[in-house]
Amino acid sequence: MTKKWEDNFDALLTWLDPDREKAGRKYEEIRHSLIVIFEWRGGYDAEDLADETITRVLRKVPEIVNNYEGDPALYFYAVAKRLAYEVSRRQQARVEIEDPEKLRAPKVNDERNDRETEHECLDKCLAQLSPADRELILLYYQQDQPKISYRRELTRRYRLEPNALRVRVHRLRAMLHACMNNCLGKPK
Amino acid sequence: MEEAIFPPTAALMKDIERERLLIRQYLLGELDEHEREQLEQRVITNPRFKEEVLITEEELLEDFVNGTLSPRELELFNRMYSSSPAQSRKVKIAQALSRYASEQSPVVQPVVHKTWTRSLFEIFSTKNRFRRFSLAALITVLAVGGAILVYWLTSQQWRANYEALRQLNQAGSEILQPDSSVVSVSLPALLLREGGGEARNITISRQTRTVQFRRPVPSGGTSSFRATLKGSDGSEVFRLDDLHARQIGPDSVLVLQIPAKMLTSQDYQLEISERLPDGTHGRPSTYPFHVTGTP
Repeated sequence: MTKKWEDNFDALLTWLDPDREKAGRKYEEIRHSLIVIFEWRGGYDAEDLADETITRVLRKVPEIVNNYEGDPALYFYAVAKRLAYEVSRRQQARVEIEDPEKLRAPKVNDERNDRETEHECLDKCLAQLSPADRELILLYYQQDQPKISYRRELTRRYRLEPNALRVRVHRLRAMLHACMNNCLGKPK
Repeated sequence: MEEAIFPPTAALMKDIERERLLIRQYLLGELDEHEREQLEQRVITNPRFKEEVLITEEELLEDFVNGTLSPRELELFNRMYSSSPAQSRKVKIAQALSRYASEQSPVVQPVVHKTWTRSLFEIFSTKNRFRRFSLAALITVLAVGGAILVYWLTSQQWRANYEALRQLNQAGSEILQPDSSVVSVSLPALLLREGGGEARNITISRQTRTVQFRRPVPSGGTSSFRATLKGSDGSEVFRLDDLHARQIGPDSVLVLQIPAKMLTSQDYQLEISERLPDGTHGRPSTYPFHVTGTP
C-alpha cells in the first residue's frame, strides 16, 4: 500500500465523516451496499467489483472532496454503475464461451457430495448460534401450517412484533450465510 | 423503509406492501433502468432500506424453495439467480437450510399452544424484577379493589334490607297476615325487666319473607316507640324510631315487621322502649329469641 493510497484513504474517511469511528462504519456500509448491488445485477465476483469501485473513488478523492455536494455514497454509486456497465459487456463474452459447460447437467455424485458438504457446514454454522437462535431459525423453516398463521404463532411464542421477528430471522440468516460462504469456499 | 409504527394504519400497511412489491420486482429484474437506479440509490444511502431489500430477497428465496412462485416469477427467478455463482449460492443455501430444518423436526420442540395454567405458572415464576414488582402491585390492587367491592356489595345489600324494613313499618303500611311467608310472634305487653324472659324459638324457612312481632299497648295511647334489634354479640342490627301502635280489631297493637333476609341462625334481643315527653326513651323491654333456619 503506497503512501499516496494511505493519504487518499484518510481523505476518503474524513470526507465520509469527521468522526473516525463513524466514518469507518459508513465506509463498511457503503462497501457492503456495493457488494449486494453487484450481486443483484448478476455480477461475477461482487466483492472484487466493490473493491474496484472503491479504488476508483480513492483515486478521485483529492479532486472531488472540496467541491462535491451531497451524500458521498451517491458518488460511489455513480462509479459502480459505470463499472457495472463495463463489466456487463465483458461478461456477455464470457457467458458465450462457457455456455456449453453451463448446459452440462451436474453428475449425481457431484450433487450428493455438495449436499453432504452443505449439511456439514450447516451443522457447524448452526452450532455457533445460541440454542434459542438455533431453535428460532429452524422453527421458522419447519412450518407445516399456512405461513401466516405459523408466523403469527412464532411471534406469540417469542413475544416479538411481526416485523421484529422478520428482522431477527434475517440477521440470523445473514450470519448463517456468511458462515456458510466461509465454510463452502468462494462460489464457483 | 422506515420502521412501521405500531399499530400500523391501513394507509401505512398499503405503503409497506407497495414497497415490498417494488423490491420484489427489482430482484426479479422487472424494473426499468430508471426505477432500478432509484432503488439502488436508496440501498446505498439508507441502511434500513437495504435491510428491507435483503429480507425481501430471503422471502423470495423461501417462496422459490417452497414452490410457491407463479410461473412467470419462477422464470424470472431462474434467470436472475443463475446469472452468477453468488446468486446461485444464495439459492443453494436456502435449499440446504430448508432440507436441514425438515430433517431436524423430531429434535426441535414443536410450537406449543400454552394452556392458561402454564402461562400463569410462567408469570409467577418469572425472575424479571420489574415483572415481579408489577405482579405484586397488580395483586395488591386487585385485593384492595376486591375488598372494596365486597364491602360495597355488602353495604348495598344492607341498605336494601333496611329500606325494606322501613317500608314495612312506616305509618299506614300493610299489616301482613300470618301465612307461609309471614311468621308472626306475639309478645307480652309487660315483661319482668330482670332476666329478660325466656327466649322464643322462631323457625324460618325458604318461603319466609317476613317475621312479624305483635305487642299489645294500652288503648288510647299516642306514644311512639323505638325498636332495637341486637345480635348475639350485642351489636345493633337495626334501630327503628317513631313506631306507633296499630288498631287491629278492638285492640291496640304495636306491630314490628322484619324482612327475613335480615335474620340469620343466631340469638337475638329485641328491645322496645317508649318515647318519653322530654324526647328521651324509657328503659326498654327486652325480648330474647333464637332464629333457626335461613330464608
